[in-house]
Amino acid sequence: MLGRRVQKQENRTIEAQARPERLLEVADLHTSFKTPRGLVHAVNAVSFTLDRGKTLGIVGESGSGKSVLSRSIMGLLPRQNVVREGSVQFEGNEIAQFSPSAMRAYWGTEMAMVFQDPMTSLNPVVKIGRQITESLKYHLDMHRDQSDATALALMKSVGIPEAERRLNEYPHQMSGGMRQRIVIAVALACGPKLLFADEPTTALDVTVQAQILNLLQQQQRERDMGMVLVTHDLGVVAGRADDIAVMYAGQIVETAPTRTLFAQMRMPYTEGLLKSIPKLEQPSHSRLEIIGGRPPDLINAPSGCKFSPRCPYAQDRCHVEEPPLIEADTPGHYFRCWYPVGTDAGREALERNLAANVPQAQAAVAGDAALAGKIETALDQRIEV
Amino acid sequence: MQARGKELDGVLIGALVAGLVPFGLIIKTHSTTVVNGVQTSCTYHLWSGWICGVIGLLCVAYAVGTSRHRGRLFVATSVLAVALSIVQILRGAGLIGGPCNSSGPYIVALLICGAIAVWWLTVILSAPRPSDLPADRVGAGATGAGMGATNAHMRDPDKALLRVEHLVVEFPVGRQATVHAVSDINLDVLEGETLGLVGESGCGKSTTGRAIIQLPRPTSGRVLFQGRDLVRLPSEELRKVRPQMQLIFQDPISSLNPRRKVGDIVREPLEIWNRGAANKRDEMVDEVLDAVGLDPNVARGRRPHEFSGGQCQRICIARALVLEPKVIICDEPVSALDVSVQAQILNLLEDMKHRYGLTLIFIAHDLAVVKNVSDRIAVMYLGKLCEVAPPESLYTQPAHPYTAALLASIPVPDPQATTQVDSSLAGDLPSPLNPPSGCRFRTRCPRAKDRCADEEPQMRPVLGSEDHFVACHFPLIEAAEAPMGPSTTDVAIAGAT
Amino acid sequence: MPEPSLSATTNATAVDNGDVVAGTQSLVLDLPPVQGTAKVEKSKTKKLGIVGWIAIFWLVAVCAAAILAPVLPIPSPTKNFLSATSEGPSLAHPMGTDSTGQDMFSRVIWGARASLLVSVSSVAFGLLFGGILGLIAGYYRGKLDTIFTNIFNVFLAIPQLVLALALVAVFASDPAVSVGKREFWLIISIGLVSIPIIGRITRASTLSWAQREFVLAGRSMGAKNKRIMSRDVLPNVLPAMFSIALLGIAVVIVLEGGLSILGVGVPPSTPSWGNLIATGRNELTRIVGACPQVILAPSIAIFLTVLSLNYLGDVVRARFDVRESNI
Repeated sequence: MLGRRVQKQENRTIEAQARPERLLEVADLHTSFKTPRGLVHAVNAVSFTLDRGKTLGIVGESGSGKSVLSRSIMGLLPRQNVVREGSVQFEGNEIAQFSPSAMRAYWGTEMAMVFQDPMTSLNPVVKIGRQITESLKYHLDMHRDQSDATALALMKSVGIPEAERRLNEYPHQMSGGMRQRIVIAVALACGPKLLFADEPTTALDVTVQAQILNLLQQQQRERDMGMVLVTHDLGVVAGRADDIAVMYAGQIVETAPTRTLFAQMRMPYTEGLLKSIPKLEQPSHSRLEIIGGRPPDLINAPSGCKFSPRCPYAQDRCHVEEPPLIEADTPGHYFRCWYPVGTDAGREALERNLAANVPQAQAAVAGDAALAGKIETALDQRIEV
Repeated sequence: MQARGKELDGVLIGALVAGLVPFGLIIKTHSTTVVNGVQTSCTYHLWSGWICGVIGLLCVAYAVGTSRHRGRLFVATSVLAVALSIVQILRGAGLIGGPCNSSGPYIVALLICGAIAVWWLTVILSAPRPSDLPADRVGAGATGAGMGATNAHMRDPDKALLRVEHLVVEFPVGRQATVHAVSDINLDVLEGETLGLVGESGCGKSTTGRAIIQLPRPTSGRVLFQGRDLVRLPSEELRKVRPQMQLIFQDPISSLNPRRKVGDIVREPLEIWNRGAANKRDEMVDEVLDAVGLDPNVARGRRPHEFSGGQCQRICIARALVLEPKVIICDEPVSALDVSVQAQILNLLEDMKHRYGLTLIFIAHDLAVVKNVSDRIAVMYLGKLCEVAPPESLYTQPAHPYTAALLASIPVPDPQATTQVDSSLAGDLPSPLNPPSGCRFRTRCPRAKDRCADEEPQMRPVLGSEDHFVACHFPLIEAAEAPMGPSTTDVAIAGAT
Repeated sequence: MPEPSLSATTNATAVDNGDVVAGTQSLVLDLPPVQGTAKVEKSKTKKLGIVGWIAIFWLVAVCAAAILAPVLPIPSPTKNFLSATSEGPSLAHPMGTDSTGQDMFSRVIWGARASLLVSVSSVAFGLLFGGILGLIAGYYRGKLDTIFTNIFNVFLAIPQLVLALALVAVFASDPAVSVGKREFWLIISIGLVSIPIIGRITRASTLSWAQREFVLAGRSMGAKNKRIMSRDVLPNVLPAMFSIALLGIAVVIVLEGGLSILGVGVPPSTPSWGNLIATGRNELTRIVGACPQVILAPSIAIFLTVLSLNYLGDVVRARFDVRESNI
């Protein structure tokens, strides 16, 4: 059985090399939560595609809707108080309107998810072996010996030493990194074609983070899976994703192949994110650039461009008219901005703002943290008016 | 240990006194319990009940209090004694059972019970107290560690504002086990300097930071601040030093009292120390709130939950600054924040450092963040220092294999950068309950040899690099031989014998 | 739509930056207002709702009746209307009479006096001592905590009713003692019983709050323990204490009834809800001439009071459950 599956995977690899297969196509997906305060537009008109064997990195700050997006695609959100519209096609099948029971056939076997916290995503009172074999028995109708052998092979493949002994251990007996490896093994158990990794390394140490990311990459290549890597850290996706989508206020504000994005970013938000990360090659005490304020309230998002209240480039037009996704010169590169970074229009806009002492532009260029704080307070106040 | 003994004596005496009070009451009650010529209460039942109950309670409290496992049987017996005593009291009060003539069995049971309790009490009291053991070990560990002191990286004591010598922090956990959180660390910070302390979670960097401000006090070692040893300072004296050293935490929301207004939170340190006139305090609060980028008029009247994480961290910084401290220990101040907010807080700390003339100890797990703010970086691994260097030399030529691995595992936001899969570390941090012998990093080190298991590496200067020190037998770049002081020879002799 | 710009004007949305910030001139942030403003709901007060108001009304009515019993136009609770024994509800006797012709309405109101006195006082007693002990145990931890916790545990292991029974039996079992003295010992003994319960809850809550970093921050600022306990810990622990205390009052009302059945509650000469039920319990088994109102009237009073207290306890807890973050 295991042999056959491996065989199948190999076939699949050959196929995939022959022609890239469209694995996932998300079109105009909206997801909102009903709350007493109003409708929270967590995901707003998101569209993207993912081919088999490719990795898409979704980057955004907390509150940008990136985690909701992956859950919404997988249909993991509760039915109550959630409004979901749009189309999600998996291998050409429309799955957006599937009921949870219909989705159950997809979960595990077709698509799987690795969550942020390895402690809460494992059941603390069930032995590790059983947590892995459970889905094997359920989805693939395996017998006990078979499923045990598969679980052992899986654990070895995710780099767990002494797998035989670990099979009979409980999650609390392992370290955070080992637990996250188990979570990955559980997710990979039924050979999914699509893996969502939702901040898989945020709860882990840097050294372990590197291990887990390498493991995910290696498994993705071996199994020829599509992977959606959700993170807040541009550094995590830089070397590992084929494409990157930057999310802000529930929208994709810029998406491009990784190298293009880093080489010719157009969206001021992407630029701000990148420049605010301290880098090792910079000398110490070098000033970081700052984006003033914080992501907007998704109940009551600003008019025009969602980023305009914080944007150092923002002009009159930005506050009124929302930019659509504009295609850049490079194919596959889209952004939402009227005055894009790296163009003459953008340069002029920034200069004009600096000349007019617009606080957002000043804070960004000078890295003035106190001023950035004032901007945040001012934006908060404006919401309350 | 003397203190603990006294504490216990106090408990015993207190319990006995508490036990005697009911006796008086019972005697008094008994005189009125003959109603209509019928005796409704039996004095000796009551008496024996109370005696047994008090002994039982006492024994339970002591056994569980000293958390001795072999005391389980003892606890069971004592609980039995208490239960029996209740029966006796009820019987004595005439609420259950017949008249007072069939008391024989009760007295026998009572005597047996009391005898068992007393026996156990004597056994417990004569046995060596378990709490004595860690103290001896701690003492031995401290002196032993002191011998193997590695302090080549320490600078002139006169110049240092803060000097940490042979700092050891250990926590007893359960029976006989001890977490060796920090083992013999030497550090110094010059005035106006920012010292970065970097390492994985569980390496003891936060514990070091807290031991420096004596919360809790370290197991042994010295923390010299302006020439005074904080570890040996009496509590009240230490309290007076506290305004000079402040702490900023990782979780800004948890470090603010949710029920107090921001104005009160920032004002609190001034109230404690009675700084400034009452009407001037509001001005001081406003000034510091403004300095950290919050609008005082808006912020003062609100509670922490009305602010974002970044703003809460600003409030924490304001609270730390309002006393105008000399040293601020930042314990992972940006780890819980988004990148864009992280940049704001890092820049803010830098600005505040210049404005208020601060000396910072910056603790974090992210080497890139630490490098951005620090003048000198100390890399920690499992309670020990691995390498101390200025940020540039640490980044360009790491000498310790652990530093190199740490550098390699940091995700670089540049797709061109090649990820060095090989140099990233395998495995996890070993347990601080039972750290590896010799060099603590040897279990994960690609360069480890036999010597690493036998001999603990000493801190020694790296050749051709100024102010760069490494504690490794096989560093990535040449290092000078360990300085041979009296301390190291002791270790060598100990090793030879 | 104006763009964010530097302007000299000060308007409603302007935020004065102040000129304290080093290196920046006094500037005013003038931002465009949000369109289609749905005002952010700031009030997080849990709505009391109709049930809550009914509960409050009932409790206020019971308390008022209990306090004003001597001046209310009701017959004496001990007056025997010999012409109307074991009667059902009527205009003259809204809740009927018992077998000796005493007015049940009056007895229930006078009963509220004793029941509320005992329950509120004993819970207050428990709240005071249990709260202090729990706070100390949870804040200092270590040996002190172990000792207190074990004392609590030992007390909890003894059935509450039995302990209260034993205490009352020892100190005030003599039928000759005055009602006041009996009530005093009842309060003390029930209070003692409630100490470990309140103490444990206070301790658990203190334990979690005392480990919060703002307590450490307080200590690092040099605040004394007493100050931290009273300013930082206690205000956060109080809601938990009060919600359990409200439930405690309900439990004590019932417990007092139980003690009355055992003959150590408030003496029958003074009506309390507990002893009304205790003395009337024979009415349930009587076949001829049964008058269930003797049991029903105080039972309904207890039922409604306990229900109200439970409901309000929940509301109080939810009300003081502050949110720690709005992210």
